[in-house]
Amino acid sequence: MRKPTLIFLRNPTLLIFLILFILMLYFVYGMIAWNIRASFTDWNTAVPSSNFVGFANYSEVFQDSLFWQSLKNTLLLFLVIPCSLGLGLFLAILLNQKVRGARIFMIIYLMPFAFSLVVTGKVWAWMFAPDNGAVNTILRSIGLDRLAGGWYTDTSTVMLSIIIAMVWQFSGYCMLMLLAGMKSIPQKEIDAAKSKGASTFRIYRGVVLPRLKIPILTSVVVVMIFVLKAAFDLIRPWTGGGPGTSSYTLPIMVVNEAYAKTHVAYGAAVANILVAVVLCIIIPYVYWSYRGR
Amino acid sequence: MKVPHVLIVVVVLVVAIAALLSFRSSSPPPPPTSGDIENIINDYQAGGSLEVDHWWTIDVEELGFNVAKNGMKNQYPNGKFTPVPVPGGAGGGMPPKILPQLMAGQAPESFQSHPGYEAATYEYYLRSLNDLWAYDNLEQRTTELIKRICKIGDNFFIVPIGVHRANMIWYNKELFDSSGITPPSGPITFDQFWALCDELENKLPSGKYVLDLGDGMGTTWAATHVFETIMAGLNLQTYEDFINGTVTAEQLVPVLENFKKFLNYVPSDHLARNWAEACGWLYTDRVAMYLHGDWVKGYFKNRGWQYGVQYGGFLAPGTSGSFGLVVDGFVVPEKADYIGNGLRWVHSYTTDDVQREFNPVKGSVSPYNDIPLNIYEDNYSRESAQSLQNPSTKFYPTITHGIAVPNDVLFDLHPKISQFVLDLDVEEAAQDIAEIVGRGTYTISWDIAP
Amino acid sequence: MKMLDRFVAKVTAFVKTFQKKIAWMRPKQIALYLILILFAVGFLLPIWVAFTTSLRPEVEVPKSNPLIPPTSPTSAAYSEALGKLGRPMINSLMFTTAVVACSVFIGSFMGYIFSKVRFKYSNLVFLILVAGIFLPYTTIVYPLFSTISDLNLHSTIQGMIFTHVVYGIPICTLLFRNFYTKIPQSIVDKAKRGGAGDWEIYRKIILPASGTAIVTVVMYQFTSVWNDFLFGLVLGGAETQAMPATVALGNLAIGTEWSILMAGAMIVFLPVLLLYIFLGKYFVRGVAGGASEA
Repeated sequence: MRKPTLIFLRNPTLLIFLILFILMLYFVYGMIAWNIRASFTDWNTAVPSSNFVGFANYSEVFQDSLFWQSLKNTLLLFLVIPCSLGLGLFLAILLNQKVRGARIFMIIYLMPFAFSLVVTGKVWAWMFAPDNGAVNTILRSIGLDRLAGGWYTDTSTVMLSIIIAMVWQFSGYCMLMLLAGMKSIPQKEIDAAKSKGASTFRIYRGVVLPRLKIPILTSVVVVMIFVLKAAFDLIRPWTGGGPGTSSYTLPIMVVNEAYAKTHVAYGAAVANILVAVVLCIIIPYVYWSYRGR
Repeated sequence: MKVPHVLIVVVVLVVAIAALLSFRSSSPPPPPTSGDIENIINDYQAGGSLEVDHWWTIDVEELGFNVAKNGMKNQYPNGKFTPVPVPGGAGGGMPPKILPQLMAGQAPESFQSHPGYEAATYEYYLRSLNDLWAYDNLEQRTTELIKRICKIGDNFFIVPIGVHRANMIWYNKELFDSSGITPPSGPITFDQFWALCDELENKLPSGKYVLDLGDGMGTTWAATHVFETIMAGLNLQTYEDFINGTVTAEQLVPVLENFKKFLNYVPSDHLARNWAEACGWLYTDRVAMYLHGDWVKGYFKNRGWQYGVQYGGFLAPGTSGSFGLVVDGFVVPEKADYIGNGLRWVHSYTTDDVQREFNPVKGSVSPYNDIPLNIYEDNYSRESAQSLQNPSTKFYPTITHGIAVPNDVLFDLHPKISQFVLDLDVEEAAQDIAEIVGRGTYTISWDIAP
Repeated sequence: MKMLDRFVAKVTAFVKTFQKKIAWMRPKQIALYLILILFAVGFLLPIWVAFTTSLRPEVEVPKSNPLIPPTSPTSAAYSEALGKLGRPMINSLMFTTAVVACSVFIGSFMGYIFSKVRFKYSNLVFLILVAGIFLPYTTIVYPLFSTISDLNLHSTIQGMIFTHVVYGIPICTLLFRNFYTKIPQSIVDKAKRGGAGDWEIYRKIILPASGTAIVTVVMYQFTSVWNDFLFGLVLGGAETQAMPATVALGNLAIGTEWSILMAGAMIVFLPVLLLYIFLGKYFVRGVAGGASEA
């Protein structure tokens, strides 16, 4: 427990801090406020309109089956976070051993992170192409014909295909953060545990994992950011929300409503719900992570 | 110690803010563009900037746009022409780019749009082009339906640049020849078409397909395109009711039944290909036929194929004598900096020189009746142009490409069609589609059925 | 003859040490390498697919299997892609590097304030800041453009820099703050008792120790800004008006010429990859340094 030190109103520090904070407030919360206000109006054409309609837009949203499907798919996408973390942790543990050329492996695992999402979609469309894509070709050549399905052309596996592509793209970053965290654990502690006769598994659980709380937090936040971006940037050019509407996500719905159909108020309502859902999931986690710091 | 710190910080802040607020490289204030259209068009020394947002960013489309661009630069050499390519086509990047600009009063001098309901979406922000249409005599130079769709209420808001035809089926000559089938040369009914498909299915080796859809990779509209073409082929009255917002589920059932039949001949992985890749399958002898608009010609031409040699086309079943109208054009917003340049732009591409060069390059047909037929390279375009100018042709405006129905109806329609392609549930789709159509606000009343 | 003898001797010696190494490698280690290589292949496969397609003549693309390299590779796609991407890449480079530089300073400054300079409710304020990280860009295009155009910053490099810096404030603050928790409060307190002000502490103690954090933030922020599409589309204009590489890539991507798109993808991806390789050195060093510090 630290005693909070009072700011001695150091003008430059306070000034800069306030400016930055106010900028952030305007560009983030100011925009959210705009969205909230818009969602209570009847603005549904290209011409701005500000007649107050109460919760009409929201009740319409909640009755829209496409909304529920998009919400479900968006929540499904959040599975990318634990999956990327898991794969990243696995790779980090591997690279934490004495490995020659560890840096080369690190770069290779990190390469997908540098790729543009639009291109990722197209490349994985090729990988997952049902009749001659790389994945199915490999599966068939090792006798796993049953698994060589339609992937993104099939409603039951389209979200899985998308999740796999995203995990490919983001687990490298998780690996990097976790590896850095592992390597910053003082060797003394590990040696001490070893000398007490602990197995490698116990060492990882007892000594390493607790120290990884911060890198895990960082990874979760960063992957969450990219999942939200990818929910539109990756999926729209790849499946267009299909087959049918089985890969529709909330960001796709927002863009479709607010821009293509110019139903700005309706789109704003969906957008607000999206923001609320995201915050409800992530803020408790962040808060829990920072307790006691 | 405090004072110098504060001073430094304040100075830095002021400089930073000033740098941020630095206005863009000095452009003189735009000259007033009151003054009648004749003066504006004839001001060949006019300067100022011209920003044109468009989605013709690749392949032959880009080549076509460059023709128009050069035409403009030749006629008005002093202006600074800045084309702004926007990815994603009409339903892709253009709306999120142009709408905020229009709303904030920062519109470009011109942007690309489709006549009919798509341009009507932006009507509030657009400048009426009645004076330009009158000055360039465009009403006498275009057909009835084109005039109709370029008007919103009493005002012309868009100037057409090129016309495409939607109701075509393209075929691979090699596959037909090797199957011993002669492609249809005249009008074809639905029964004849299904018989053709069956024959092809029997004769084609495995791994080769009769038809493709091309609705994958985000271009679900290709499926809507097939849907509307089937509807137009079956019953133009149904089509008319659809675009007037009064179609019933019962009317839609036969359309969907035939669509379902169509889908029988489409490979099960059709979602792996967009329209261009479906063309690619036709190009690589994997599919015998493809129902799509005639902009596919650009794709084939770019890869060395010639119409009538390696591939051909025939009118979709039931649509002989019909012309599915797809029209491209540009609009002029009111709140642009240099409206005069916007007007000069839309004028420039209606001139004889530009029209003559643009259309063959782009693969489209001129909307104007004073352009000779000999500019077109192949029979298809010549016939298409003739058909366009023939008053007894039955025209119908395309739904898929923004003309015939309101935008919000269209973008609700795409996922429903996509859903139908997936589950082939005719009853449910008929209900849902009729409902979507009924929800729209229709400001144009169409009269296209004979 | 002597040279040949020496050569043979060298080779024999090499083979001997190699044999020793193999014999000494336990099965566990062999398994380790195998798994690592397996995953490396898996990770590289999609990039390989993009690469082979970029070298393939366009007319062959529809009929070829993307896994197999082209028999007659051509660089035509690259020259075409470069033509379209040249200026936008420069735009992107300009504003991305500026944003990263600003973000590092701003993030470290704010991170320092939230971790060392505590004030009443600072945790609550921090939470408010962090919530701002997750604002989906697609939801704010209308008011954002309106604001940026009021400032006359639309279609300018300055506008892109400004926007990305502002939206980067929350995440960079978080990343730096996470790192600064490692710096013991005692050092800061000692400096304070020695009469140092916040700004001095920041300059002399915090900044120099920020090595790994800076690398992390640079890596993240560069990737995020470089690959951003929506802001570039809405706030940027033509090539000469701050169009970023991603939008230009999108213009290549409407889906008829895949070889050109893949060539473009390789080109756009290259600077980020080079950055990772360059930073990788510092990362490992900095991280190892952190361990020996404690």
